[in-house]
Amino acid sequence: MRLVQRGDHAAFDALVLRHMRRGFSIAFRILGQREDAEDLVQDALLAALEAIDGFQPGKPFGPWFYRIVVNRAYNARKTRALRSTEEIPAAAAASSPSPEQSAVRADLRRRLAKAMESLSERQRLIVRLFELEGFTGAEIAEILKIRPGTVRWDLHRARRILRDSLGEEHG
Amino acid sequence: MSDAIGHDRDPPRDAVLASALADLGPEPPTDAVDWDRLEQAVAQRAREQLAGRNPGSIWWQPVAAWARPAIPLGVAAGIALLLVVLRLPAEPPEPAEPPEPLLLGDEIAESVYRGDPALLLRAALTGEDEIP
Repeated sequence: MRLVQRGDHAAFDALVLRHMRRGFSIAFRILGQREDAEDLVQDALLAALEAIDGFQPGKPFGPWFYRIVVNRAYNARKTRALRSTEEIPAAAAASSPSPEQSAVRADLRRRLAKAMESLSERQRLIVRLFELEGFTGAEIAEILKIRPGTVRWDLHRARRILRDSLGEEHG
Repeated sequence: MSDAIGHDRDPPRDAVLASALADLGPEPPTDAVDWDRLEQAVAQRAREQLAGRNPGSIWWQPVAAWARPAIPLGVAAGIALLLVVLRLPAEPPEPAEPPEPLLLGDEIAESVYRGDPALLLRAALTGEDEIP
């Protein structure tokens, strides 16, 4: 990190390589558009470089950088007109299940989508970061700058609501 | 599957829920991203910022580099100075009083004038300015 602070290109490139993909995934989960997420992760990396002197040595760079991504993604979503993130993914449509399976699956997704909408924005992000991105509760707390206990509580509530929406399909 | 809140550890991952969530929203299309192009774009935009952070352009870095050997040298010099100061006597010696001028008697002065120093030497040894 000190090398980056001194202007070392190779050290900064290494940081980019290590954190760009995960930063993109987080941005995409909030923004729902690839191009927006690509632009955002670029901007976030440069913003991190600009603010690198404020980074506390000894702390992990990842959560600090992902917090920049999350904050910028929320701001971007407020200001840009974005498409809905609840579109049917192409991959799901391409798996060509039977009509009955499609109907069940569509019903499941509709119920889950409705349950997701009932969650707060923070709960949605927490459950996605935990279940889909594989972050730990402590990392999520660091990224969102909230207490780990709050993360666990939000995660607990969100998962209970989402599991209820899945009904018999779950567990 | 139940969440254990109130503990410091995370609950176990819920594979069924994760699968349903992944199916719900579009997953990040990481395969569709041209990562090389993105990395180059970031590197290009970062070039100017990184150049501004060049070690030579930061005023305090030469000072910091110079300070590394200077600090122990300074400490050593300080200790040496302290030792010298401690070895000095507590009070400076009193200056010696100038010797009293020897007032020569007329007879001695005359003998000196004549070129006979015997009386003068005797007066100097005895401290008497007159010949007894």
